[in-house]
Formats: sequence, structure tokens, C-alpha cells
Amino acid sequence: MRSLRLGRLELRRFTRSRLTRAALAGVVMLPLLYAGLYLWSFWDPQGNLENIPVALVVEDRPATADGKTVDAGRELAEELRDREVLGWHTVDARQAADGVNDGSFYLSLTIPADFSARLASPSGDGTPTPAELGVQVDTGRSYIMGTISDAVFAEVKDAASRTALKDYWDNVFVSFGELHDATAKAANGADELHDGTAEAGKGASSLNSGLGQAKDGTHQLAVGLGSANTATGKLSAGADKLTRSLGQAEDGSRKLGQGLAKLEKGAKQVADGNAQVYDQVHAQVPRLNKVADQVIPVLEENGTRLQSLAEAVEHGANQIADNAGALPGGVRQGADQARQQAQQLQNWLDGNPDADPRLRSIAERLAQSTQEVTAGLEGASSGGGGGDAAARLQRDARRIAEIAGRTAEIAPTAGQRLDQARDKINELDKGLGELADGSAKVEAGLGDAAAAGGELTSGLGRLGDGSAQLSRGLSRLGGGIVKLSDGATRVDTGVGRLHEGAGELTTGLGKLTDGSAELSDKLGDGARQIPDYGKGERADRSDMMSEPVRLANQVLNEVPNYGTGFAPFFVPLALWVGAMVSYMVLRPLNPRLLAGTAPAWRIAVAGWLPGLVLGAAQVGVLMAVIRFGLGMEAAHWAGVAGILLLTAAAFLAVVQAVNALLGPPGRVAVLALLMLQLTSSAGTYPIETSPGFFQTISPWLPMSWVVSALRRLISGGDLTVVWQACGVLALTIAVGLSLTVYAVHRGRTWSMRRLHPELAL
Amino acid sequence: MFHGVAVHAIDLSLEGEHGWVYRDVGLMAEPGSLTAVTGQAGSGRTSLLLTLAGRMKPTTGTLTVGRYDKPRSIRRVAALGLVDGVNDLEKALTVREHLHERSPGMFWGKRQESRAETALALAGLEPSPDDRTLVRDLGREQRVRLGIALALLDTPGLLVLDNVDTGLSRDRQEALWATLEELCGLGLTVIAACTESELATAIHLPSGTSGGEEPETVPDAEKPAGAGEQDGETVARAVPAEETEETEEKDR
Repeated sequence: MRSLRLGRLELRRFTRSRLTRAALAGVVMLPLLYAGLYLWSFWDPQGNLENIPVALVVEDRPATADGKTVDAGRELAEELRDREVLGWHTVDARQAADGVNDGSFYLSLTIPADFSARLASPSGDGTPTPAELGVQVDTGRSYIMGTISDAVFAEVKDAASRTALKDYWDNVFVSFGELHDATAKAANGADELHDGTAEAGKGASSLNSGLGQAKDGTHQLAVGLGSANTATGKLSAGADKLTRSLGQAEDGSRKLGQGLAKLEKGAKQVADGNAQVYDQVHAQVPRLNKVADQVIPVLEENGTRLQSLAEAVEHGANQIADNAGALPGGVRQGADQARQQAQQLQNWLDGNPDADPRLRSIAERLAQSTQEVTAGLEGASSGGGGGDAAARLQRDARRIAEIAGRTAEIAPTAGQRLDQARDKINELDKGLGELADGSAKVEAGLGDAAAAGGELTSGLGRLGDGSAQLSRGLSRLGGGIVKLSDGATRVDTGVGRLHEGAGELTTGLGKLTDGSAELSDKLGDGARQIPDYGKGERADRSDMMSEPVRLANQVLNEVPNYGTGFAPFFVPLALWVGAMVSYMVLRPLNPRLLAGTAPAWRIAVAGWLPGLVLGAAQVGVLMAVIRFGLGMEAAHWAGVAGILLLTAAAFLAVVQAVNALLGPPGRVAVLALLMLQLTSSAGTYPIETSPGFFQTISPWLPMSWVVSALRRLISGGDLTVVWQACGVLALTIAVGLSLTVYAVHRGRTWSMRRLHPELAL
Repeated sequence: MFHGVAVHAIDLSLEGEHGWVYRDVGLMAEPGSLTAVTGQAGSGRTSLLLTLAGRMKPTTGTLTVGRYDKPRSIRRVAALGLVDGVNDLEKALTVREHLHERSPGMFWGKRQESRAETALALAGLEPSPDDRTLVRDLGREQRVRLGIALALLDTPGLLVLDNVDTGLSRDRQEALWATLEELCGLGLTVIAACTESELATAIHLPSGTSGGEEPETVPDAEKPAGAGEQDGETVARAVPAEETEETEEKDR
């Protein structure tokens, strides 16, 4: 009670004059000035950004994409002007730059010429390029404008991005639908491809087997042509030999003709002779026989005459023998060979019905000629005793000659053998008869033979020509066959390769079939997996994709404006300043009481209470103005009032204690404490952003607690920290008053310095 | 009425930052005696008074006030009258408010009022505790007397007051001294400082000591005289004044 009285008296001092009353009023109003002006000034800067002159430069030209005109720059500018977040002034680039430089604009936003084009770039061809907005901020003019512009343009950028993204994603989802349809078509196509390749596979395998057979055929052809080549070689050689032989045969035949002519002459003579001989012999034979019967005995008497007769016979027989050997054996041999070769040629030609018909006719003629020749020769040999008859004739003639010789020899003794001779003469007679016939036939035959020989010669000439033609034809045939053989070999190789290729083709087609089947399946799967959105779904999805991440911004304990956010900081700050000013006016301790005998605590409280009255007044005025003047909303006004009163009390106790302890220099210490609390109470930025020093001192200074508590009381939330702050403040009061009591004890004794302060504050 | 205490000071010296404020002061004041401390302004009178009243610690020497020799206990029996620069009266407060301020006890009741009346009377003022005259309207003499009255509210054994004669005419000074002598007659030990005193028991403090008190700006203060004794031991022996009848009558 006494303390109250004392405190009242302390204030009473100031009520006596207008000036001191004004001083008190000033003390009461000072926190209001401090916090109220500040909060009033910055109550809602964000809400008044439309007053900030900023430049807007629209250089954007509309772009066309997918047949749609994109005029994003103009739309963005309109949007900005509609929102009126900042005070937009549409100017040109020059004016904007000048304005930012001379400070008439805080910042400038440039929508560049290619803004729309770039926004539209994902839809068109070419490289998609992000659209850019140019911002120029002069943070030197206002640092906070940098932050504001960041926030504003983050929103602008987001809005622009959202619109662009929405269109883009809409296109993407449309494309998805098209892609889905196209993939389904592709799957069908792949299916058809699969069927086609399967058929192609079958075709290729039959092609392959056909080519295999073809390969066998071409191989055989090549081999056959090889042997045909050798055969024609042989044939050609044979034809050459034939030609040569025919030449020889012609020569032989010519000689034969000549021989035959001579032979005919000879044979004529022989026939004539033979006829004469026969006639003579035959005419003599019966006589001979009779004679012989008579002669035999006579012979023995007439042997000499007989001898001369025998000698004559021998002479005639010798002539025959000489003439009979004149027909040459070579002719027959040549003719024979010619005939055989002609026969062979004809046989071969029969075996090769495709042979040249001219060749055939030549060969036929050749065969006929040779046959004729042969037949003629045979005729000749059989006609003139032929070879054998002639030979026999010759031999007989010789034998006759020999017998006649021996007869001649033995004629003297013929009588003895006349019997035998008579038989022999009989035989001779017959023989001579036959000989005469034969030689007549020979003569006739030789005539034929000579004619035949002529024909043979001309035939052989023709045959030689034919054979020469044959030979030439055969060599040409040989050349053709060689070429044919080479071609056939090449064809064979080619067909071989073709066959291999066809094999590979078959395997490849097999793989292609499998692959196309897989392709078809996969494309089908793919088509099923590609989304195909309807219009509504598309809109939803585009909407989501244009802003895939959204903040579910659940603001707990919302702070409506800057002022409300900073009131928890500035109000206690103002109260501290208020306490400071209070004890500039008030004395922390009443010196009369100090000099007196009043108890220390009473003196301390007496010094504190008037401050408390002022503090309460400060709190009241400040709260009233903030509440009703600035219109701040608080969750717990009573709590705010309570904590502010407690704060004022605690701050006053501290300020009083410091002033009481240190005297006038205490004001400097109080100011220092203010600075420390200002920097460590986390009023603007969270304390975690401050250096360690401030984080360390923060919990030891009351203002940090007050700021935290006020945030809760104004914005709502868990009130634990409020009670903690109350505890801290109570403790602060206790500590402050204790220090003041201690100061009272110390202040009861004066020092020289206190008596005569050297420093007056 | 008052239980005066004896004051024994031996070789009291106080050294300030700029040298000695006073040196080798000796004092033997019997209970109920009146002692004057004389000296020019700046000679350390105030400091000595505060020391004697336990409001300042001497650098050397011993001081006994009654049974006490420690400043803290001395303060209980020694009261300060008006000491300029220490317990100046508040010009913006009334006499009544000063009385209220200094009255002991929780409430301002009858007891306090009568005590204040007595104190005012003893100090030679109008015994009206409800006196709403502002101190700024009081003259120097009244202020000194009010200071005495306020000191008496604590019923001290020793009264110490400063500048008794400052700014007062000779007759007013004498009236004041008479009041003080009356108090001594009531058993109160009084030590008063003044520039000059004709009292037999006076301690004269030499002025001009280096590092002494700053010259006080007191209204009508006389210029300090030339240098006095530098090293002379200042010893005062105070004997109690005779009790006058007037005071006895007043007591009744």
C-alpha cells in the first residue's frame, strides 16, 4: 500500500505543470509512435503494391501453331493489368529502361518478341525453346522490391506456364489418341504382313525345291555337254580320218578302175585264150582218150611230143596266173573300211536323230556308195572268181603250169602215167571248161567292176566332199558345244547360287514371319497400352499435368498481412523503448527514500510502480490503436493484453534495475539490451537464420519469449509458449526487482562520483 | 523525545578520484549536542556529513554513532535533513505529499498525521500535514525546515543537514540555528554544515584541497575564501545545549 502511495507520488510530480504532463503523455504515447507508426506504415504493403509504378514492355508478336494463333504476350499483359498486383505502365523498351534508371519505375517486365513463338514451339517443328520473360529490378532503389518482384513474377511465370502447359498437354493427349489409333492400324497391317510373309515363305520353299531340281538338271546338262563335247571331238577326229580315208579310197578306186581296165583286157585275152585252150583241149580230149587208150602204149613211144605239148600248156597257165593276180586286194580293204565307217556314221546318226539332215543325207549317200563299192568289189571277186576265184585260178594255173612242166618233164615217161594224165586231162578239160566260163564271167564282171569302179570313184569324190563338209560342220559344232558347255556351267553355277539364295530367302522369310507375328502382337499390346482419352478425361489430365504438384497449402494460424505478422515483434520492442523512456522521465529510485530509512524492497517497488502505471497506459493506447486504428485481428485479445502488461512490467523492472545499478550510464546499457533483443528475438526471420551468437542469447532474453507468445495469441495455436513466456516474464520481474533492491542497498551510500556525476546523461 | 546518540569520529579521511575530499577529521559529539561543520563550498562538507550519517564510506578512520560503527547500522539512527544533491525536495510535490512520502507505516492514518504535525512543529513550520503548498513555492528556509521535519519522521538519534546558512539572511540563519538548538535540547544530536558558524563546536574544513568537492552552485553562495589550513587536524568537540523551557512547553 505504502509502495502504491509512493508510486503515485512519483507520478504526482509530473502532474503539476503542463510541460511535465506533456512529458508523461509523451512517454505514454512513445511506444504508440514507435510501433503504431511503423505498423501503420507497413500494415499491408502487399495489398498496396498496385501503387508501385512498374513498366510493362510488350514486344510479343502473335505466333501460329497447329492453325491456332497464340497471342500469349498480349494475354499475359491483359492478365497482369486485370490483376492490378502492381501499377503497370505499358511503355516501350526505351522508356522502360530510362524509367528504371531514373527511378520512375521500380522494375520493368519485358515480354519479348518471340514469347508466343517460343510458347508455341513444342507444337511445331524445330527445337522447342522455353519462353522467357525479362525482368529488370533496381534493388538499389528498393531492396525489398527484389523479393516482391520474385514473388510476383513467380506467380506470373506459374500462370503463364500453367496455360502453356495445359495446351501442350492437351495436344499430347490428343496425340496419344491418334497414336493409339495409328498403332492399332499398324497392328492390323502387321497381321496382314504376317499372313503375306507366311505365304511368301511357302512360295519361297517351293521355289527353293524347284531350284534344287533345276540345279540337278543344269548339272546334268553341263556334264552331258562335257561328254557331247568329247564325243564331237572324237566325231570330228573320225570325220577327219574318214575324209583322209575317203581320199585314199578315191585314189585306190581310181587305181582300181585303171587296174580293172587292164584286168579286163587281160581277162579278155585270158578268156579268149582259155576258150581257145578249152576248145582245143576239149576237141582233143575224146581223141586223147581214144588216143590215150591207143596212145598209152604209143606214149611210151611218143613221149617227146607230149612233152612239147605240156610245155605249151605250162606257158599258157603261166600267162593266166600272171593275169589273174592283177586285181589289187587294197581296194577291197579300203572299200570295206569305208563301208564300215559309213555304216558307223549312219548308226550314230540313227542314234542322234537331231543331227544335221544334210549330214544325214551325205552319210546315207556315203553308205550307199560304199555298199555299192563293196558289192561291186564282191561282185568283181565272185564274178572273176573274185579274189578267191582269181586266186584259185592263179593257183590252178600255176599248178597246171607246174604239172605241165612236170608233164613235160615226165612226158617222156608220160606213157607210164598217161592213165593218170588222162584223168587229169579230163579234169583239166572240165576245169578249162569252167575256167573258160569263169574267165568269161570275170571279163563280164570286170566290165561291171570297171563301171562300178567309175561310179565308186565319183561316189568317193562326192563322199570326200561331204566328209570334208561334215568335218567342218563338226568342228563348228564342237566350238558351239564348247560355248554351250561354258554357258551351261555358268548357268549351273548361277542356278546353284540362286538355289542357295532361295534357301536363305526361305529361312529369312521364316524369321520374317515369326518377327511379323511378334510385331503384330506387340503392336496390339502397345495399342492397348496407349491411352485413348475422351475430351473430359483429357481436360482433367491436362489440368493436372499443367500443375502436377500443387501445395495443399494448409495455413495454420493465418496471418492476414504484414502488419499483423510484425506486430508481435514491434509491440514488445515499443514497450521496451517505452520502458526506457519511462525511466528517463521517472527516477528508478527515489533519492529521498534512499536517504531515508524505508525498507529497500519498498523503495524498489515504489520506483517500479509508477513505471508500471505508465507501461499499462502505453499498452492500453498501443493496443487500442492497433485494434481499432489499424484493425488488427487477434485470436486472444485478453491474452494479448495480459502478456503485454506482463511484458511492460518485466521490461520496466529490468530497465529500472539497470538504471538503478548503473545510474545515468544505465541508459546506454538499456539501449544495448534493446539492440541485443532486437536481433535475437526472431521478430523478422526465424532465429535459426541468425548467427550462433544470437541463437545462443535468444532464450536468455525475455523479448524472444514475448514475441513467440504474441504470435500465438494473435494468430492462434498452441498456447504452451504463452505460459512459458508468462513464467519467463515473472522471473524477469523477480530478477529485475531483486537487482533493484540490491541497487537500493548500494544506493544508500553515496559515492563521490554519484554526488558529483562527471557524466550527465 | 529524542534519543540522541554520540558521534565519535577519529581521523576520518575520504579520498576521491582527484585527491582527498577531507582529511583527518576528528569529532566527538555528545548526544544532544549541536555541531557545525564549516568550510567553503567544495571543502568536502557534504561528503563529511554523509559520512557521519552513514551515507558515505570514509577511506580511513573510525566512526562510531551511538552503538554503531558500520554505515548500514548507522543509517538506522542517523537521518538526513536537507542535503543538496542527495535528497533534494521535489518542487512539484506539496508539503503534504512529502510528508506522505516519508511517513513510515502502511497507511496514512491518524498516527502518521500526528507524527507529521509534531515533526513540522519541531522543525518550526506550520503544523498542518495537509499543507498543499508546493515545495517550489517554499522559500529556502522553509525547505530546510521541511527537510528537518521529514528527517524527524524517522525519529532519529542523529540529524545531519547541509547548507544551513546558504541563501538565507543572517536573522533567518539564526532562527534556523535556534530551531536546531531546540532539537538538540530535545536530545537529538545535530550536525549541521554551513559556511561560517559562531558555534563553539565547529569543525572547519579547509578549502582548496586537491580533489575536493566540486564548487556547488548554490543560490547566493559566497565565493570561497583563500586557502586555509592544508594539513591541520580538524577536531570538534560538541557538548549538548541546554534544554530550554520553551521546548519543554512545546513537548507538553
